[in-house]
Amino acid sequence: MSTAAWSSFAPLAEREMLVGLRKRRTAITQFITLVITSIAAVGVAAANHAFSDVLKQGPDPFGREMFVAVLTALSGLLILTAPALTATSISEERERRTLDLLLCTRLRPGDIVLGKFTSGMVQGLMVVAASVPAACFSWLYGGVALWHLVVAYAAVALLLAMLLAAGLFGSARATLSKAAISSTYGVNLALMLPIGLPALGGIGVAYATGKAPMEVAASLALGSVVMLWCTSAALLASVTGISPASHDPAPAARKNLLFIVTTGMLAAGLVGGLESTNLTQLTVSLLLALAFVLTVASLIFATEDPPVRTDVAASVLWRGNPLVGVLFYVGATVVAATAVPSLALRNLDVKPVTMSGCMALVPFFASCAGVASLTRLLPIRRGLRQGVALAGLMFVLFIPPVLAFITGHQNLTAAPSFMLLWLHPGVMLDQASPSTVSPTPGPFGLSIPTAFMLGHLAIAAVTLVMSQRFGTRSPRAE
Amino acid sequence: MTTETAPLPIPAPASRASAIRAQGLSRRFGRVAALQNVSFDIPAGSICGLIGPNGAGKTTLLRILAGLDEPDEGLRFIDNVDVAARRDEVRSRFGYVPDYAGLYEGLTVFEMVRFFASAQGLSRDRAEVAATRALTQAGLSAVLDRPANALSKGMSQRACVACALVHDPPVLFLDEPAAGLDPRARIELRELLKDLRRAGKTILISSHILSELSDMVDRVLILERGVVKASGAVDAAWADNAKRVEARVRIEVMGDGGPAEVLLRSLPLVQSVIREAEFLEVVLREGDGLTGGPAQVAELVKTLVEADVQVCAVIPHRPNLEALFMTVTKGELQ
Repeated sequence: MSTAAWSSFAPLAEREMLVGLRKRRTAITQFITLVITSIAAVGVAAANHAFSDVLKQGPDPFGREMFVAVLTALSGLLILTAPALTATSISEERERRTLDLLLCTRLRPGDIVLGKFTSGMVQGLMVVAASVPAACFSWLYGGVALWHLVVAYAAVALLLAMLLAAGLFGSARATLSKAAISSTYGVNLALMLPIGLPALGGIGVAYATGKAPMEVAASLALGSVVMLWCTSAALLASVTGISPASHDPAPAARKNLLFIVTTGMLAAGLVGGLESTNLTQLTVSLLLALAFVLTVASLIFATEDPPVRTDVAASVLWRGNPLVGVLFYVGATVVAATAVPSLALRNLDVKPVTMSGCMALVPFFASCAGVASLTRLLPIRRGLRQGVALAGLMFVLFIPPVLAFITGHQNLTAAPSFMLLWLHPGVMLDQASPSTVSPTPGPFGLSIPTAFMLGHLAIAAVTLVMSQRFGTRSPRAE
Repeated sequence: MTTETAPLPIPAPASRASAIRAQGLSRRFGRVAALQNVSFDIPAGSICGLIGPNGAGKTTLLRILAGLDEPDEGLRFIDNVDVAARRDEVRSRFGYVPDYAGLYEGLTVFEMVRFFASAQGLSRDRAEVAATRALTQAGLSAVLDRPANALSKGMSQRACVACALVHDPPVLFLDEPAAGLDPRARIELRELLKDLRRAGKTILISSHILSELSDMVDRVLILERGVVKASGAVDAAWADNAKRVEARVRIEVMGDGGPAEVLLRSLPLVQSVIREAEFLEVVLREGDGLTGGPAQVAELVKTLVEADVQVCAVIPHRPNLEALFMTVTKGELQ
């Protein structure tokens, strides 16, 4: 990020952190996170000691169980608490009528969203940091390599980004904070439950089937792309949600196109780069991705009657009853996106309808986030709008064949695999090369109490630095 | 009809550079036309009162001028900068104070104003200097470290003005800044605005409190149902509409007012006389000069004195903003 770009939204990010860190909420959430993740780690140890013979199998499986427990607890906490960091950040500005004041400064709507997002990430990562001591348990017991921790926390950071972006999205479009909170948690529940619950149910399947490290990496990359897609779409929708009404569609159209092209090419690059084993496969994957991007772009920017009318759902949403439109979106997207992936996933033990329906909801969320405001600014009367049922279908149509062609594995999927991995890192650990598994104790000969102490010291240092930076002029009541 | 006797302010010089200019602004919200072909020109260094009944389109106009809303048609310029074409540049040219703005919880007054200085692109050091200057200008130097959300309403309004002033813009938009303020806070705000005018700022201020405005504005822009009913210097606007107003003079005489009433009714320039307990309310006809102007009043006094009527007081109801407002608007609801 360039200095100029940072300096444009830095004042707002700084102010948000200043206000956020002066509240007790951050410190309390940090404390709760520390306690719950520690209880999760200790609980696994106690349960295994009492009911299982895992300890008898050696420290490595025990460390992995602990790692899974800590990350699961951390993820649950984030799903519950992280959206609150941004869920009211813009709606409160609107209620307080300070949004107009902000928009009259040199801060652009994008700066406002990025500033609040950055502040949320910093505060959220401070909470995440509170889980590090508990995670150190598993590392020191063994069975978990350092790169496992890094990858897992990177995935957590992506999850945090997606939750915060969803919060901003809900906040940017709501007039009242209560509505913003409902909207935020509604969006997150709609996103997390359909994907997360089947993924949890599929943990056993994943254990049984097993995957090679390359497939794990590919799933991780694809899952990251999906998360980034959702995050980007929600942030873009937030930006346009607070922009003054514009009759000039050109900037919004350019943003729309840029968004499609960059995310499409990012997906193509990651898929091709990580999964290809030869140049032919890489070339084909890139061509397919390019074709996908061009198809969508050409449909969006079509000015003549397209061969197939695809904006029926959009018409319902924009010209008729919004509720009917939303129901149509959800129903059509899930139904349409279920048929094709069902065929592609027939080799999986997980029910295809469930899994492919979940897959469809990911691009559905992303495209709805986009359509919610971006296309409102686009005077498009025909063509493929973001958010139409076909968008989710095209995503699902595009990804599995590419993956199947490149990898030769018909049962490889995108988001669900990643979610399995993320929610249960033991899948990853089972597939890791034995040479990468850290023996116990960890490097530098650290004992568990020492690691705990160092973790606490790290948190204390971060808190101290932040409080020195932002907390020196706390307002005092007269 | 009003009985206010506030004098007209000194008219602004005509030949000054334009600070705020609108050309054919129109804005519709569904079936409601909030603004219809609104055009005006406010020269630099003047204070213009934006007047109109509720729903006239005042706030919409201010929001459009500030770039917070987009017109369906029309152009607007601030300091000769096209608002639509050069958004980033124009934001340094104006400050905006909405009709109500809460202040940030968790920040001191100084931190809040310094934040707005930073948001206007000033470096940290310059932002601190600018915040100190703006708060001093707004008369808030004594409360720098007080929590922003603990200020009284009057102080909050001044803090908002400080936020709008912090980057030293040549133009200020104020939307109902005196609404809800107590008399002292109103007077302080009025003095602050006069100071700003003396500092060369151009101010477009919307208010319902016309007596407050008449003491400081030199121009008016009267809107009704989104249409400009009067625009320009106050005296010019009055001259344009004077013939539509009943000009009245209140005369107090010694003793019984009966003979004086009969005498006044016989004069050609008098339309009617209303006899009250202690005075005579004389309604004048349109004459050669300004109706209700000095020439007509002098003629009335001369006639009474020549008839040996002892005149105690003569109080002409001079034109003011309220009279002008009541004259040009019809009280129609949007």
